[in-house]
Amino acid sequence: MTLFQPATFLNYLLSVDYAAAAGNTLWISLASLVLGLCVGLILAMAREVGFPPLNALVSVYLWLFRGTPALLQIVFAFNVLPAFGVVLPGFACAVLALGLNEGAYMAEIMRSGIRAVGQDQRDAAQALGLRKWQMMRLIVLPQAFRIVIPPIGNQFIGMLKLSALVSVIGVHELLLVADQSASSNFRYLEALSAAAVYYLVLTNLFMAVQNRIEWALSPSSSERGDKVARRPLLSPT
Amino acid sequence: MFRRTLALSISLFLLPAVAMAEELQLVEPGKLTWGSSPTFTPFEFMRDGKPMGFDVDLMDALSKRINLSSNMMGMEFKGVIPALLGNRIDVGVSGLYVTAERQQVADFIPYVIVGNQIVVQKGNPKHISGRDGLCGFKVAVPVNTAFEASTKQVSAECTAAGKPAIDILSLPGSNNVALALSQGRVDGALNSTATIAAMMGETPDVYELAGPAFDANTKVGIALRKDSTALKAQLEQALQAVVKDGTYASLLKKWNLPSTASAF
Repeated sequence: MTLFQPATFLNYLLSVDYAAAAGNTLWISLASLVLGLCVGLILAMAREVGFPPLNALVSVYLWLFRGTPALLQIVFAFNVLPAFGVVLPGFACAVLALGLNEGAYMAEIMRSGIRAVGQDQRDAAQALGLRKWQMMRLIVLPQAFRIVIPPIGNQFIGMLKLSALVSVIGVHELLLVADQSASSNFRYLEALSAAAVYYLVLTNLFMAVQNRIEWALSPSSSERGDKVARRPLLSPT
Repeated sequence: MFRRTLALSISLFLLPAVAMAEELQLVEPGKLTWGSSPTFTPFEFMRDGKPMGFDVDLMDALSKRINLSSNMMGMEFKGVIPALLGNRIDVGVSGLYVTAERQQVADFIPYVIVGNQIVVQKGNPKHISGRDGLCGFKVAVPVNTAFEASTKQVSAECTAAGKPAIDILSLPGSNNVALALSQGRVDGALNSTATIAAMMGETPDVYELAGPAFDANTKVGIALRKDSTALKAQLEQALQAVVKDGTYASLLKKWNLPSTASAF
């Protein structure tokens, strides 16, 4: 048995099974990210309202979802929810568990973003006669969004890899397919290496997207066509 | 001179014994370390935090025969053969079906014969007739098992005959499969006759058989690395002794395996 068979590796890499599995991994990660973003935004906004019972509710949510392993949440959604009459397919269980889990982390990221927009900005908004929700939508959130892009990119890359956990509930993502393809010929090195290549490509893809978004949101790019910022680096606020 | 001759003759005399002890290179000295996934009733499963089952008892008996202590190492089923090939365990004993693919990488000592069967929810709500009536249904199997391979083959037969393929749900172990079936997540499951019998014995009124057993001469074996010839010879001898003294037959009985399950 030679240690590494390049032909087997390429065979896996170019197989329809792997491509489909990579698609599933990407799809699960994206769907969970979107769900996580929505949940996180709602939780962070709920905190901003400053209504104590709402605050307590958010705290319980964070405590529950950050305090238990993601794998437990996935298995819970798959094996325990049916006891309450909710039989979701594996894919939906995966997105539900990962998305709700992600939401807890996103909430904290969003909160840090919202908090990072200084009181002076809010005062200025009030001076202009904006209502509270207008201030949130027009002044705070756009600036907060720019601040939270790097940590969200981080979370997403984490999510891409966390999605490997859902192989235990039979969702055909990269790790399960790699494991299964190795079970017939036991060429684990080739099978897992091929999966690793897909993960790396996906991660790279996302880093590129993140860079692109950061560039698009950076203050200098608001002056279209300009590659160099005309404003001084430290503009007076 | 005399001393030298004496030393030489003594060492020559001792040589076979020394060689034999050296030949058995074990992962942990004095222990027969066997990898297993305790999710496959009645062969190996956990009860009250302890592994038990036919394989556990058999490995105890075999280890005793070759003066080693039985050391089960629990792992996921899909990890058993890789662990064997990676020298992490001495043998793999996890209700492993002897398949052509596995024989390419490992040697086997067959010790039990089983068949496969289809199990459905009580009342057979989808009216599945058996192996050939699975086309288009959702079927759960443990991942990387012969059951999974077998279901894929049935599915290929379905599509070749112009029928819809089987929607296969691959889960970590047979315990997960049993749960998925009882929850109605799948329409049926394919597993060993012995495992299905144990499932139905443990939780009556939940499952029902669909159709007769098939692939009735499937061998279950102890997996060894191809270079573990010395260990293989010793285990084969021990197995024969255990069959001869009646331990084997009593174990079949203890774990409700029919006499047709005997490989001897």
